[in-house]
Amino acid sequence: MNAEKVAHTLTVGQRAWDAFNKGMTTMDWSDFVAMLTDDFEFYFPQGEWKGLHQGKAKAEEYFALCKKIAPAGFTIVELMHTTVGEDTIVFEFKDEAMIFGNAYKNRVAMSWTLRGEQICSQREYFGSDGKSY
Amino acid sequence: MNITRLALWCASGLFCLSLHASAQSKKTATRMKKVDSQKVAHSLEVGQRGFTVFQKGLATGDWNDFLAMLTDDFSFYFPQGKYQGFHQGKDKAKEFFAYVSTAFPGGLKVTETMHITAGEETIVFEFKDEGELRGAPYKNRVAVSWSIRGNQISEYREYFGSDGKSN
Repeated sequence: MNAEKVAHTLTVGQRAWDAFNKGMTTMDWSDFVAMLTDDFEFYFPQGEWKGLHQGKAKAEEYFALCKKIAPAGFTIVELMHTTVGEDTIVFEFKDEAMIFGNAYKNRVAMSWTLRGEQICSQREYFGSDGKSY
Repeated sequence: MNITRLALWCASGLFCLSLHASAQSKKTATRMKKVDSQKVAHSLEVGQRGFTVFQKGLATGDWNDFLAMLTDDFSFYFPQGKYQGFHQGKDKAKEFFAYVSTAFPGGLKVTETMHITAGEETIVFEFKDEGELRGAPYKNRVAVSWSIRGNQISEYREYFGSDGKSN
């Protein structure tokens, strides 16, 4: 394992996590979006946004929608596990929010692939049903 | 990431770093911790062995080799359905994996392992699978995260990346 690559992934991943956490909490995604590559792609597990989406503009559209459905933001209740490799980093966390006025809770695994100082791929996985964690 | 290449890198003896969840007040911060490469290599080696027998269980319904790798106090989370939530104990695991094979009598095939991320105590596999769920076509994208203790798996956390209809 290349120690320098792992250390770099750790540094960038930590910075990205802080920006992601800020985006979730405040719905100000500007810091997080600034960390995405132009060819950023992401997978979302369910609903209208289920599947693969490509391009930073699509990500901005998605985060704008998050702001609409949960204007008060999401609370990351607990970060349970973080696993870092050479170019991927995976966060397992619990979150909650009010979505369209309904209580939402989930367990989530968020996996990012990093390139340089940015995130080029995001894969989101749900560990529960949105009603409990 | 090819798991064999990853194993070779780990075995090279270089030190790597790992992030660990902070147990501090808000439980959402991260902190850096230096880990030795031997622990990462061990997680990878045990995880690789675990994933091989896990795939065997999914494909054939014979879970004996996988169950043998679970600690007696093994616990697991499953995302949906009858087993949604947290479960404890190896007996519960035995019941659960038998249930999986009842739901997929023809087996569940891992069609692609996209990413493997190994840390000091955890290993995460991101993969695509497909099969027939009670006769209906089933496809999903899945992340399973295992906590490794000794030569066994002590925790299993499963996450779905799709809806069972596409991957």
